[in-house]
Amino acid sequence: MTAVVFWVFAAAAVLGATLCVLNRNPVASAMWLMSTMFSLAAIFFLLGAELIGILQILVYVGAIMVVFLFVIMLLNLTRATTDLRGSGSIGATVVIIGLLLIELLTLWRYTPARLAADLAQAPTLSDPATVFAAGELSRHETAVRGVVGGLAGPLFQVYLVPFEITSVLLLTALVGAVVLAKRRL
Amino acid sequence: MTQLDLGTPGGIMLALLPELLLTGWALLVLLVVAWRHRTAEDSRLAGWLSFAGVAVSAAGLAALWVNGATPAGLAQMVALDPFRYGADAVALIAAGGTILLSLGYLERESLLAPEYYPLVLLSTAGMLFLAGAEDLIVLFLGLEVMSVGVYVLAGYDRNNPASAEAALKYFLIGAFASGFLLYGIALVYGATGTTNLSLVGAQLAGRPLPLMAALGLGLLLIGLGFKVAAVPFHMWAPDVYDGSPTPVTGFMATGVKAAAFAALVRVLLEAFPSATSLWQPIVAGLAIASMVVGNLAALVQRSLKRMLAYSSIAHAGYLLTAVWAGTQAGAGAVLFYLLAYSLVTLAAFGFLSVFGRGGERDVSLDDIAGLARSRPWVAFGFSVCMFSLLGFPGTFGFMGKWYIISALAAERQYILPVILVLTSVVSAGYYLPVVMAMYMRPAPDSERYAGVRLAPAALGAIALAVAVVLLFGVWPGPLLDVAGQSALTLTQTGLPFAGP
Repeated sequence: MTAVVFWVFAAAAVLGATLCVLNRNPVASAMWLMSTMFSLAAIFFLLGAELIGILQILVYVGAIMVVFLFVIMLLNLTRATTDLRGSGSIGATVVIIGLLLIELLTLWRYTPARLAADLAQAPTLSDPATVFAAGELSRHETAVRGVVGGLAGPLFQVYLVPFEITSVLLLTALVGAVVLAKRRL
Repeated sequence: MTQLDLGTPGGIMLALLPELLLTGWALLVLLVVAWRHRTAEDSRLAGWLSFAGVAVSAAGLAALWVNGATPAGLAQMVALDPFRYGADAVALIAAGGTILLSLGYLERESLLAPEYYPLVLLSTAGMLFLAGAEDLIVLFLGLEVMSVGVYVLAGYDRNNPASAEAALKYFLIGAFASGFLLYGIALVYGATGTTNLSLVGAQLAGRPLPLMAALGLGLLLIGLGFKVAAVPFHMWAPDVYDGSPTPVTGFMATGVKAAAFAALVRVLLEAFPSATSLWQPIVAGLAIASMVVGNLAALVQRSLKRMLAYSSIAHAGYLLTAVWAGTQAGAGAVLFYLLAYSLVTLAAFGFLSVFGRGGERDVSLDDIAGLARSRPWVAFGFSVCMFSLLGFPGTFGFMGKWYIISALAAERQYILPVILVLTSVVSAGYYLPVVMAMYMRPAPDSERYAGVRLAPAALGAIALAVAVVLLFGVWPGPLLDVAGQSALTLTQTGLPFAGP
């Protein structure tokens, strides 16, 4: 059952992303992006990461996409005016997509079981099998520490340094956006 | 030797002392410029304040280095070893030099918005995070902080279409490269269950490399290859270097490259020492392509700025040969060469920003013909830069190349050094005409170079850089020792967890 739900939403995510890229109308592109984000949220739910799933919907599907749509409508970009896709770039795109497809098909054989077997002889420090067993780890964390605690622990303890660097990143982007876009400095 | 426990708040804050000081100082400068952002004087104030910030951060770095801070147990998130300190020092030198060069330049081009300087500080903080990253997540975030700052700096000359083009190109290509990097990180995590570099290395030790990790390694190489502008991932570099304000070009060619190379060395030597046979041919291919294409393309450039852009691609190739060695001597050579290359490149772009007076126009050989007659010291300094980039004996650049070649020879590798020497000979074909134009051609008219004047801050920075280049060219001993010892610790970080 879970597998079926996963495949439905995974397919929806890929379809949405493809249509987002292919669509010429920016508003429609934004809508397809929204549907991709929504499908990703559903996959988070399947993994037992309910909080991240809800945040995904609130932040990405809600707030960020609304801003996207506002910007598109303010700029009045109803239709792409120029076509940037030359024949050379189409060739390059096909090659790159082909390579990525080959890569994905190779990785297809990487089931969690095989990965665990691969790592069985290694000096195991953190067992990837526990990471990959369809949300077992997050379900355990949720049971012990609650939905929010399961996220807050790693975020503010193990990953505190990256978390703080993210704030520097956002600040830099903010200052940069103002510098580049403000009419009179 | 001081041991810092990175698991405690105090320990991690001490370990991140240079980064914290720099970021905090950047916030302070941002606050100051919020009130004072109108006149040239305000811009100067922000510049000198930011330079003080770099100095404070360097003091923090020196405190860590002198006390020999090492992690208690396994390093998480950030490394604490002399290799990081060395790479951080190069990044801070690049930042300080860029700020000093910008002081006069921004006023002359009337780019007075003082937010320039906090952006330099913030992206330098990103470089420090990147160069010290012990975890792939920190590596990615450091790379992004650094890049976002530099994207904006590249487009800082808002009235110049070339500058806008440079910023947009750099941004799009950079975002593309980040995608590769992230995909690589995801695959490495998938294969090993961890993003810590030492743990990845321990997981992969002593068994054939899983396919997923191999693909991850390849994508990581692509992502970092874009950042260091190695052929074939170099297509953006000439246009971006050419269009950006000249001091920013210097910043990109030195700081960004230094931090990205430090991260590349750390990833390859800590996380993938067991996969040497896989990545060595790739790195060798990138190195040879960069050396050949960079040098040959530089030969046919008219604009000096574009010529230096291609030359920096060639230098990325030289550095990649040192990375190829995969040994501590190789890592030491990378650090040593980065310092030599950064000092010279900063000084060279400093000179270029003076030649391109009154608006950003292409400086060609004709624009510096006969410079030695009326401005002998400027001509002398620029000649020293050219000779050092060429690797002429008696300059720092020569010692750098010699160190790389000796690191390669220790691995019984002779093809790469031969190509390195041959392409260096080719590079004489574009470095020497610059010197000849300045000394042997007559100036079009005697008043031509009246406007060529270095601002005092830039003069100080360039004079210091040139003096150091000459000094270490003849007396490199102490620095070689430091570089060699810096690299010694690099591959040992993962040892407590290495297999039986």
